Amino acid sequence: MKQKAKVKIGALQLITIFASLIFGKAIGFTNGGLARTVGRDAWASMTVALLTGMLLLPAIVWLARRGGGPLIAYIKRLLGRWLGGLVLLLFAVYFGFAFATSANTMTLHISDYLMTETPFAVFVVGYTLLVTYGVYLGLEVAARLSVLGLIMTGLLTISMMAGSFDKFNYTQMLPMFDHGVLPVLAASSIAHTDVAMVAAAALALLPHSVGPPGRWNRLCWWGLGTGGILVLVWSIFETAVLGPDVVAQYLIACMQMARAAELSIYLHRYEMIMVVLFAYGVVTQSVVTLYCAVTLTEGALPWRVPRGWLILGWAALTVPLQFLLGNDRDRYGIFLETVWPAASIALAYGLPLFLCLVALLRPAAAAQGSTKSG
Amino acid sequence: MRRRRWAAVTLLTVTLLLTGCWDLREMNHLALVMAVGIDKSDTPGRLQVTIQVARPSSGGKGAGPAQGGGQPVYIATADGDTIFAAIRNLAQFTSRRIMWAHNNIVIIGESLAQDDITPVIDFFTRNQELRMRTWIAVARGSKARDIVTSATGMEEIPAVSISALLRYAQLPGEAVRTELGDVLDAYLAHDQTPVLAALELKPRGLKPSGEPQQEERVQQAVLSGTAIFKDTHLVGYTEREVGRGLLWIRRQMRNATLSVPCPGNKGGSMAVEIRRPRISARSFVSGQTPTIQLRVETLAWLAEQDCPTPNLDTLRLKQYTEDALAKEIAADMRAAVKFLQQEVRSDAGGFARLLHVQQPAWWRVNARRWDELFPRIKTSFSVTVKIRKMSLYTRPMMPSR
Repeated sequence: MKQKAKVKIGALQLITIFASLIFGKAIGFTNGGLARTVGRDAWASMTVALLTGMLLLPAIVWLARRGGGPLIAYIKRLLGRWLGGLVLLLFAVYFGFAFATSANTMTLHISDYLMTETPFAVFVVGYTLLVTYGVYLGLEVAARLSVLGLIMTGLLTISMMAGSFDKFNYTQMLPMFDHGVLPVLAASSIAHTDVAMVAAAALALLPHSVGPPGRWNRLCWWGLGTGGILVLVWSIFETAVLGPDVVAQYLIACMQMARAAELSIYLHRYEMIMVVLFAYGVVTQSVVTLYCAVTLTEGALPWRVPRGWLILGWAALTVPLQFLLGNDRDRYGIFLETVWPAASIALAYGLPLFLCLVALLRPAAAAQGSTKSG
Repeated sequence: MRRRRWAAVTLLTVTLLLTGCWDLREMNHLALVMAVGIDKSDTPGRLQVTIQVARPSSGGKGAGPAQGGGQPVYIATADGDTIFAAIRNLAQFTSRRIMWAHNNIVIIGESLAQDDITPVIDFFTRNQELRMRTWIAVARGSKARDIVTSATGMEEIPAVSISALLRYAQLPGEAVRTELGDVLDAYLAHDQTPVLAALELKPRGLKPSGEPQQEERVQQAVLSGTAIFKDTHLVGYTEREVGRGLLWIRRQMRNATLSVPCPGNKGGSMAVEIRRPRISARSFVSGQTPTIQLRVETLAWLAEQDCPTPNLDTLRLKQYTEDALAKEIAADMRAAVKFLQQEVRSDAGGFARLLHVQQPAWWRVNARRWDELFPRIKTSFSVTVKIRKMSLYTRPMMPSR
């Protein structure tokens, strides 16, 4: 991990990484799940999740600042070698699953809409190889890719809006809180799967920021805010253009938007272009999540394992995981709406909050090497 | 250097694996469907699929011999227990693989629509090749097959002509135009009722002949009102006035040309073109029955005056026309509501959706009783018309003698 501490990410890159982390799965799968639960209030649940994330991020930033360096050393200092290792391993497993859901976002798009005859396993293996190469190149490469990813995501969103604006009917979003306020709050757990990814990644990535720790809060908010606004635009357009019942009918709601968008009668179909624009952000998300899984495992293990083997090991582990999760689409939908929200909230929010608690209870251990906020 | 050479060799080797994949589909192996018609088969319980496929290279010349050689389209039909099975049966005799990505329109036969449109909506919105913006219509008074096989319109490919009819349906302003996505939304939503555009074959085309008055009549697909559904089956069609009224009520009117009688009841009509209408709907609940108030404000252009009006100056003529037009629009809306509430008993006007949005508390209590309450909903209309132009004229037609 000492080596990894040398990895430095610029402020803009950190913002674009956070924005990419929330976007991919959120527009593809989360909106469908939310529409199935709260119908036309999907965007409201998404907003609740984003605001909750915004409120929780300062706690995570506080913890990262107190650490004064890489996460791994800090957690071990706080919890001791074995318990710290276990917590790191739990984080790593979370990121492994996060990678699997991110990878499935990409592979299911291609498999269900563009290349339906090709066996799903081919996409799983091919995409994992691509992401593995990205992890091998390192976080800085992923950070540079994320800038391109955000630009492409912006273009994708603009092209979607331009192609569907004439079908935009805001009354589809009315009446607000059609299912009541409490169900909207409860359903936000589905959207937390995406917001939580930012929270967990913030803890792991903030120590690599070149910016002063005093600006970390702003970086996180900008990242989550930028990605969140893009996700909300999709959520609102999906409801207002397709209608909540149509969004709920499909596993990959954003591809229905792509099917419903047309730029005049001359470019009446541009799903392929949209998927290409979409891919950069999702690949960034996949690389960052797998990178975090590998790095945290490296720190968690009591013995030294060459990083290359760890990358290959995680890739080999997640191939069957992605396949098992994604091959049965209905099972995957259930996983995303039930198991994954609970696991995400417990691990990506729960563990950092637990660490905050320990840091408060053990101020001496927590303060060692803490960084002054600027 | 050596490593780079190996990397280059590896990359070149990998390219050998990129020459094809499972989803390889050559253009000349594809049958690009331009229009599809779905009917009930003559065999009970089966569905019949008729497709109109573009002949990509022929453009009417040098086409295959199987059927209609020289025609720009190839038409085929097959039946099956399901639409999917019927399409698979088509593959038994068509030389190319059917591709839906460029389909212009889905047409549902009247008989099937009267039974249930579920199979059509399900198949075509489940299929990843089709767009949600594909047009969808009902074949009024005939089988879908009759329309798919007709040589209609000015374009080489008839389906392109039919889709243009729907694209420009706003101009006559008498019928809705419907896309697959809209119909799926209405089908799935508990507060909406699907409506579909209706296409009818009418002998409107003329085939020139050497002899005067001896032209041969040709059947053409014509936009013919709106097909009204209740739940999932067809229950009726709108005619001209009711069709216009329905568009006003659904707040989908964009453009229309209406006729009003000339002043003084001396015969003749004036044509007025509706421009930029603004339609709003409000609902009120007092007691058990809600009232819906529709308010129309529209600009209009006087486009034609077939009668001289020597006794009216411009201002008075405009005033007369505005009043007459407002009455006509209100009468259209009234006729549409009467048709929906008393004849077909279908909420095609979208009142349920309006009440759900504006009166959510009332809707939550009464949603289950909607079918019983709908015929009793009260309506009121307020129409304001402003004539801003008399096309290029500045004063009414006034002959010198």
